[in-house]
Order: sequence, then C-alpha cells, then structure tokens
Amino acid sequence: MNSLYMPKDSLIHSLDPRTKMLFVVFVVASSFILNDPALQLVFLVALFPLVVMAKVVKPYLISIQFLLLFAVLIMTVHGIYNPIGVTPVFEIFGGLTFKYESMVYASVMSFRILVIGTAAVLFVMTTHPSDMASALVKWKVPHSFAFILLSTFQIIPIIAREAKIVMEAQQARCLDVKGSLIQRVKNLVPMFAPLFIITFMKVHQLSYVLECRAFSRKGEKTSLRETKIGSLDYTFLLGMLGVLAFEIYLKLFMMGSLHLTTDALLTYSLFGTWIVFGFMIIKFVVKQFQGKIGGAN
Amino acid sequence: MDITFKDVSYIYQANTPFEHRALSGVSFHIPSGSFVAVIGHTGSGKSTLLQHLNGLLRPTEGKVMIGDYQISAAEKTKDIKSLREKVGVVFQYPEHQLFEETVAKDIGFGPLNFNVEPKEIERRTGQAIKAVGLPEDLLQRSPFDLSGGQMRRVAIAGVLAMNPEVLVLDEPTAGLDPSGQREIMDMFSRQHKNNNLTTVLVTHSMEDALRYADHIIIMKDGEKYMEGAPLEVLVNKEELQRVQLDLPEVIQFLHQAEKQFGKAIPYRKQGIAQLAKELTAVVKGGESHG
Repeated sequence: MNSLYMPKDSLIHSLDPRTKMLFVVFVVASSFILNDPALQLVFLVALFPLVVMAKVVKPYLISIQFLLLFAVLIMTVHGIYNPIGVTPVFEIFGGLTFKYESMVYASVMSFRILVIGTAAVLFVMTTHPSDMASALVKWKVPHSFAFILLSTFQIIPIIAREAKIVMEAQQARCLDVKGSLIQRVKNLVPMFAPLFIITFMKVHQLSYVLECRAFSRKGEKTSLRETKIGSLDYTFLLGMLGVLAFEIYLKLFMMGSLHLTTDALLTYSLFGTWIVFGFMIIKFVVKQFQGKIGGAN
Repeated sequence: MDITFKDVSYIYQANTPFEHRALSGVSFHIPSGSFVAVIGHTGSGKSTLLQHLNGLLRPTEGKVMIGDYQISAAEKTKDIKSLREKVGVVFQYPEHQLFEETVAKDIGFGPLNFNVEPKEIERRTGQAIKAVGLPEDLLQRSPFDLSGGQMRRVAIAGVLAMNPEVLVLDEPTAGLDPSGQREIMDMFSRQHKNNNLTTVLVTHSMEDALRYADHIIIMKDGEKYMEGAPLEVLVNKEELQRVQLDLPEVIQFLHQAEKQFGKAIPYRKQGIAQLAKELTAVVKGGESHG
C-alpha cells in the first residue's frame, strides 16, 4: 500500500483533481457557514451518497472511526464542562449535567470534524497523488512545490517501512522495549539514528536521480498523467455553486425563523456517537478475544 | 538447535481490506547443525518465514519449534529474549541498523542487551571483527566513516558477537562485489562449521545454495514447493523453471557437456580443477573412441 488511494472505476474517480480540491474547499466553507448541528448533520448525511458512488464505503468507514473518537470526546467533555452552557438538558450519574448551549457548541465542532474528514478522505481515496500534482501544476503552482507535496505522500509509507525494518533488526539484537522511562527514551536512539541516516541517504539519492532527469530545467513541463476538466466536472462545480448559494441564503435570511436544533436531536446524536463508539470497543475486544481462542485449537 | 515448522500459516493484516496470506501450511524440519538454503521468487514468503525464526512474527496458524522454544498464535512465548540471544538474524542490508558512535560499541550492542559482562563483550568484539576480516584498529572509528562493504561486515560482526546457536541470514551478500560476496559466504561457512551452528540462508543465488547448503527448501506463493538435498533439488530443470529459477551454472554447464559429448559427468561438488580434469578425460576418451 503506497498511499490511501483506492484505484476504482467510478464517477468520483474520473473527476478532475482540481474539481475535487474545490470540493474539499467547498465542504470546509459549508461546514463553517452552516454552524447549526441539525444542518450539519443533514450535510454529513448528504455526503454519504458520494462515498457510495466512489465505491470506497468500507475503507471510508475504517478511516472515519478515528475521527469519531474525537467526536465522542468533544461531545462528552464539552457537553458537560463547557462554561457557556446554562440550560440543563439531562443529567447522568453523579450529577454531571449536559447543557444545551455546550451541546450545540460541541455538536457543531464534532460534526464539522466529521464533515471535513469525510471530504478529505473522499479526496485522498479517489485521487492518484500524481494526478493531484499535475493538476496543481496546471493551476500555475510551481513544479517544485507540487513535487514536494507529491513526495511527501510517497515518503511517509517508505519511512514507515524502513522504521519497521530497523525496529526488527534491533529487536533481533534484543533491544529491550520495557524498563524505566529513561531507559525507554534511551532506546529511541537505536531506532531513530539509523532511520534518520537512511532517510537522508534516500533523499540525497533522490536529488541525484531528479537531476539526472533534468528536474531543475526551466520552462514548461508535460506530465505523463494528463487531467482534463470535462462536462462532468462542470456539472459538479455548478452543483456545488448552487448548494453554496442556497447555504448563504439560508444563513442570511432564514436562520432567525428556523429552529431545527432541539434537545432531542442533540441528545440522540450524543447517544448515537456513544453507541457507535461502544460497538467499536466491543468489536476490538471480541477481535482480541478471538485471536486467543482461535489460536488455541 | 532443531527447527520445526508445523502447518505454519501467516496472514498479514487479518480481517482488513489489506489481508494478505504470506505463508500457508508450511511444514519442515531442520536438524541441529545443518546448513539450509531457502530459495524462492520475490514475494514467495521467504522473509516472512525467516521472521518466525526468532519470534518477530507469531504464526496465525500452526506452530514453530526452535529447540525448546515454542512459538504459536495461542500463547506468548516465554523468555523470547533468550530465544533471540540464541537465534542471530542478519537482515537484508544489515548496515542500516548501525547507530553507535564507534564500531566497537555497535558490535557490543547485542551482547550488552543480553547482560554479558563488559570483559566478555570486549573479547567477543575482538573475535567478531577478526571473523569478518576487518582490522582491529577500525574498532574505535565511527561506523558511518566506513565503506558500504565494511559497514556490512561490522553489522554482521554485531550479530556474531551474540554467539548465537542458530544463524539466520537474509540475502547477506546482496549488493556486494563478487569477491566480497565470496569472502562473506566463506566466512559464514567457516562459522557454521567451527561453532557448530544451525544456519538458515535465504538467497537468490543458486550457486551459493549448491555450494554451501546441505538441505534446500524452495518456496512458491507462500507454500513449500520442493525440499531435499541440493543435488536432488537443484538438478531438476523443469520443476525449477516453473518457479522462475535456473539451474546452478555448474549443473547447466555439465548438462550441456553431456549433450555435446554424450557422456554424463556426475556432480559431487568437486572443484573447478577436478571438473576440468574429468571433462578432459571425457572429451579425450570420446575422441579416441570415435
């Protein structure tokens, strides 16, 4: 696995990377315009069909779990302790009270994380890193800058692999991973010293290789992977523009009369995250347990 | 130490979209003191197999037994540290694991982790550096000042200094010059004989396998494909070609000679000079009769 990119044949995959980048910007902007939990929830649900269309539902759900962790934390801790809250909604054991204003604040924040996360995951999973680089170049981003971005995508998995190799080699020489804190900090040296050296060596080699292929030559460069904005992209962009206009209209003229957010909605979304979180924990525990049972026979 | 694999399977990232079966149902037995070569195409599961030998990986199914140690999915191996002391692993490009300020300290890193006495470490360091054919005055230099080949030798010395009973080598000569490759392999062969080691060599070189090993395991797609003595396994051209492997050059040459002169010369690991003599006899004999 070189990056999170999932090569699939779908409408979303065939969009131009620039369209998808604008899409991410659009989602970020929307999540700030719609600072109302109910509307954000609607928006989040509305994004899901795109994930289905891109055929990345399963990997999406796996990666969104981590963001859900944040959502659970924010909603619980802020709901109880954020000082802006005055109106109590309900109480749980030990007199901890969830308050309306804090819950609104927490929900807006966590939904925003989930919405932006969904867009980002969708973008990364459906866009080949090289396509993104060549699209950036078309936007007059300097070629070297696009390359820096691209190589960042590539070097992370490389370093991860090297780190694993170094760690195994040191483990084979029985680097002790237990012990006191000082001992553990000391143990980082045999891990990271070789890793740094390997990384520097690789980067050094890379620079030679690049020079051999005339990287610093001036003038226009062509790209192996061409991207093109087609009618599909225009449709998509128009759609985004329409939604954005509607959001702004909503924000400017209807916010006063619209009361979608209720105690029930807040409470249910809080419980919802708890339940999903609970399932994640149960799944994790069961998996650990199965590993033990499965190995026994 | 005896090494036994019993129906060992290993699955990377089980229960995820990236699930990948690297080993399936591999069984074999390596008696103590033998020199085994594991051969296979890239991605055939050699390296995964090797990582089971010192408990870096635990089999998803099945059992690995190394001497008295038992590694299986069900239970954590007790005393994995002492297992790792007894099984020395030289990984691919081992020079990448060097990190200490001086060569001596780096060689001593393994033994130090096993709580060996400083005096003893010093003795072993001296021994190990001599074994890999480096001068002792390198000991106080930084390992990063050395050439690639010297760094490789220092890293190997670091493994030898642990005084392992089992030596596991993952393509230890990859990227070295031909004479360096030969020297290092001869050194391992000497260590194997002198210290009564059990050696497992993962290699791409059919020549090395033929020259040094007394038992050969060929892997294919995570399964054991062939197993046996080198002179049984490495002469079977069709079977080997099915896994994209070639006959060793000597065997290829002898096959050709047989075709040309109509008389087979049996290969018994004789040297080049001896082979030349036998070949001359065949050629001359052929002429006098014809």
